[in-house]
Amino acid sequence: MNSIQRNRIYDQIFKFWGIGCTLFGLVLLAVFIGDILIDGIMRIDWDFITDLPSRKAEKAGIYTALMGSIWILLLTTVIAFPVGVAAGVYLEEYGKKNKFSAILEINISNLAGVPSIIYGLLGLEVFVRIMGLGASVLAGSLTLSLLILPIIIVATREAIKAVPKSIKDASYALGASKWQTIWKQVLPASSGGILTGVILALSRAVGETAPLIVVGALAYVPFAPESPMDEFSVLPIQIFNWISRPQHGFIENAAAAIIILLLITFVMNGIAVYFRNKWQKKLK
Amino acid sequence: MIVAVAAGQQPRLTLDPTVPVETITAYIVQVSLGDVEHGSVEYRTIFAAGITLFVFTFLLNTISYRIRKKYQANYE
Repeated sequence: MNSIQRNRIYDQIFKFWGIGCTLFGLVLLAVFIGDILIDGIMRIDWDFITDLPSRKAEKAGIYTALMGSIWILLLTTVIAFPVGVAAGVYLEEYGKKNKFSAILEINISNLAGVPSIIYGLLGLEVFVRIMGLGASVLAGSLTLSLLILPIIIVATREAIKAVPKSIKDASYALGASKWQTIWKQVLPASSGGILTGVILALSRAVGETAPLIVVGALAYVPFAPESPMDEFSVLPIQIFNWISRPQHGFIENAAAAIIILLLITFVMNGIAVYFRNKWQKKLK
Repeated sequence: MIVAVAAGQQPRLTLDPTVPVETITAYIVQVSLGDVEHGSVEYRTIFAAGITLFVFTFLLNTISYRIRKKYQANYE
């Protein structure tokens, strides 16, 4: 066997090793989803979604947690979307390349890597105690907004960077001001990318548990929140709570709630993929 | 947070990877689930634990930032 043949064999071995590694994650995910489906699919019906939490596994539902998650999702969008996009536009279009912007950049990428529990502690001190919001939906949303802001900022910057310079130059050549160029040309052209980033960030926010527990979200709330100042629970906390109970009925409930949470994130990611494809076609 | 479910919630100092342990995140969550009084020792402890965790991630992030900068410069 000469060295060429040996290298070909190595090549083949490496290829199969690579395929194996790729499949490893996918197969695990498939097994996990299958297991969850077997456990929980029978438990899902309309009553499960509309019932209030209960001490009896058969009677318990996810209504309060689901409504809490929807509240959190809406408020977080309202807070994080304008702030994050505006910050991204500033850094990309207005910010000058100097020491200050370099420090800002390092900090933003640093913030994106900070564990979510740290944001929970920050929210507990700043929003719950100092601003006196209490363990409310608003305090939770503000905390999650901080958590996803770096992701939205980075996504916005990437999307704006991808806008061809010729579009901007043409706009300036026709006499448009910087504000007009950004508002009428750059933002519409990058909206797909920005929306994709925002939706992916939100689907991360909807799955977060730890910061909300620290902020003071409860595992058991008797009623769904009706205003931003109400106490709340969210789906992941409800799941966490059910998993830590010994009775088998609650494991089934947890599996069923996981299916619903997975559905929500899948739908959100699907919407994000749709926007991305549409946007990519437009740029070409 | 995920490790709170998978790794268990039992604080113990061990190098054995097969027994349940507790992460900093899980500890903070566990304390937060109880009633934590503002200004109490528990309240301050979770912040101390949080700072420790933050320092760790800050160091890792800084290292990764340095590495990224270094190789970017080499390619261009």
